Amino acid sequence: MTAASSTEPKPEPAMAGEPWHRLDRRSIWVAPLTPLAGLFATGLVVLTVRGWENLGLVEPAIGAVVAIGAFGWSAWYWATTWYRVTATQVELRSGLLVRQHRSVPRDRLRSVDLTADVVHRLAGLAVVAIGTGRQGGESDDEVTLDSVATAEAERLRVVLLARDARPDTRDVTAPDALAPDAPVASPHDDAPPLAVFDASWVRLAPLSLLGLVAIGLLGAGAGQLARAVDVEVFEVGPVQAVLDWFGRTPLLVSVLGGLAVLVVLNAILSTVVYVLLYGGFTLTRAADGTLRISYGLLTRRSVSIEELRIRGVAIEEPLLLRLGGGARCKIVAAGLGTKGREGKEKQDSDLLLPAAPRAVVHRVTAAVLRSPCVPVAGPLTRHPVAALRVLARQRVATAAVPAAVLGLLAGLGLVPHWTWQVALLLLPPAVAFAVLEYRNLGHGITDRFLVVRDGSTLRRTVVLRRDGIIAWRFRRSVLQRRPRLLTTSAAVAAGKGAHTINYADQDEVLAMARDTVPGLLAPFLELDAGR
Amino acid sequence: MNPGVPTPAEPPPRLRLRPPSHQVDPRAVTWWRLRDAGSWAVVLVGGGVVLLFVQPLWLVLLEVAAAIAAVLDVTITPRIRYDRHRWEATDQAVYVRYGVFVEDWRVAPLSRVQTVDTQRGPLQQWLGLSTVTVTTASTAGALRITGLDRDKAADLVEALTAATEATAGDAT
Repeated sequence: MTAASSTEPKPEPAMAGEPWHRLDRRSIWVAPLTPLAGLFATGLVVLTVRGWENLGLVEPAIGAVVAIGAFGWSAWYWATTWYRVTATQVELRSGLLVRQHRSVPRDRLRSVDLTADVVHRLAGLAVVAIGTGRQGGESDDEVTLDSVATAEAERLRVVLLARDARPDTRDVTAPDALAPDAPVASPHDDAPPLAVFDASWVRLAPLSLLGLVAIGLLGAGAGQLARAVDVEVFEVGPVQAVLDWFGRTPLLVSVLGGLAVLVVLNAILSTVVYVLLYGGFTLTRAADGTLRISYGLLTRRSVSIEELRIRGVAIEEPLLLRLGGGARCKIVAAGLGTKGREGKEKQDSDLLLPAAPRAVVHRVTAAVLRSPCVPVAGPLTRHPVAALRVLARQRVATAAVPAAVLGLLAGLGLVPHWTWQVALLLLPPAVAFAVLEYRNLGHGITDRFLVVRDGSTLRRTVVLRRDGIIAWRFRRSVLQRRPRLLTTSAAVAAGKGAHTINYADQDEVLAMARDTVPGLLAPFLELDAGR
Repeated sequence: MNPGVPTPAEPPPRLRLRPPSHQVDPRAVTWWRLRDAGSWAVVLVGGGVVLLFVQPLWLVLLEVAAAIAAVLDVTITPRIRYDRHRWEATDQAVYVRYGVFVEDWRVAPLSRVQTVDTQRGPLQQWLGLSTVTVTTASTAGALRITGLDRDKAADLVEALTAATEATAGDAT
């Protein structure tokens, strides 16, 4: 069996004949169970609506064939898939007719991501996804093991990330300079968690739009089901009643009423989704120099990231959440875009903290970055007012396009004149967005970090390690030349690649970039004698 | 929202990025001219074929406008691009400037350079030119020097490769 070697010592000596392991035998039954359960539930609903007396022999036969096929494929996958961890490589080979062999050097591994949905958890299994720091292109060197026993998954996590089994001491100035929450790693035991899910966080949940997404998904699912059972949605009793009410009440009342219902529904569903997704959240700094983030009441997710690879933290504040005094956090690090078996990018693989009170966000940011103070708490350098003019001009020009097109068409007599007048209503919000965006612009440097802030309805504040910046890029359009505005990007080997300071004052931002990475930019700067 | 920082008493010195020291090969102008002419020709011929069959006024106007733009683009912009496109490689960093309407400067330290590549398309081969691409570990940080003399490009690649091999680590 697979977990036979769970007692192996962590740093394994180099051995050529490292044995190959199979995935856990139980995964044959577990992997197809969730899709099949959905299929059968749909079938049951269809049958109940249509009446059981119409059930022939064909439907159960199709169901049986599909089930046998799914389990058969799953068994085939299990029987032909092998993996092993050698001293230098992680290898996965699968298939018999079409053979695949993938090997990833262990020193390229950056993160280990364990996921277990309800069925996997009941069976004691977990899906292991191993991420590398490969940036760009096809991230074809990721390895996903679907699935292994929980104990084996834990063993893999420890073994794979233990290669460099010491915490990042390079940039810790002194033990007493650490944040109060950053404990000194003990050799045996994991330190107390940096953050734990708290009931008070839930009060921020209604401020997200998770509920609207859930409503959309539920609605789409129900619609599809209705089509499958040949039910005309608009003739169902409750839907009919709602439509009747809309028909009878005045427009203003019905719009306001509909909005109110949506808001309430969103608040309730958002809270439910938030608790299910992030309940039991724990952020721990493990003794082997990794951060471990685990959460989820139904699907349990547990992501381990090598601390050395963390280049910074991004704090995201959607407008509503920000007004409610909350924020959420993401990690800026290489090797976090792990993918599932179906090759789809997994959500939230860079999550550091779900929506939480601002104080917690600041505390966690400081602790993760091992910074004695909170880099974002201080004031940031604002950008010149000229930036607002450039932003407003751009936003207004974009918002005026529909009105201009409609006006042209109206001039040709193709559309009525009120259309472009209505389209003009887009202009005030465009100005508001520009103002919001301008107010969110800001940047600054502290002793070890570069802080970049931007965004309109979603304010992003990125705290980057200054020693993680690997290139600078400066841009200036014709419009930016005279007001001396420079757009500056700091490139890092992580996440989306570059973090941009939009429309900053040229003199100020060049001096800042020069000081951020000493020695790099200075030779290429000169005093501007004036023009 | 943080309140703005009080501005320092004395204004900061007026700074600017100085132009990198080298220009690319003058033959690059010919290359850009041919390349742009080729892509404009595709557009114009496509429009012209349609005009053979139907002649709505707006399409005629569009075709004329495209022809004017093509002439301007082929005659004027390659020279501007040649003036704007400059590069420099010190023993510390690579520094490239480009852009006609949007100016673009890029700086990468040699210690963070991951790969140095050359590409030569058919036109470039005929003209004896090369494009040198310097990539970093970031998806956003590639520096490109287009239209270098072939031999100069080979020397540059050799020097950059030697410099990057001298630095330890994986350049992240």
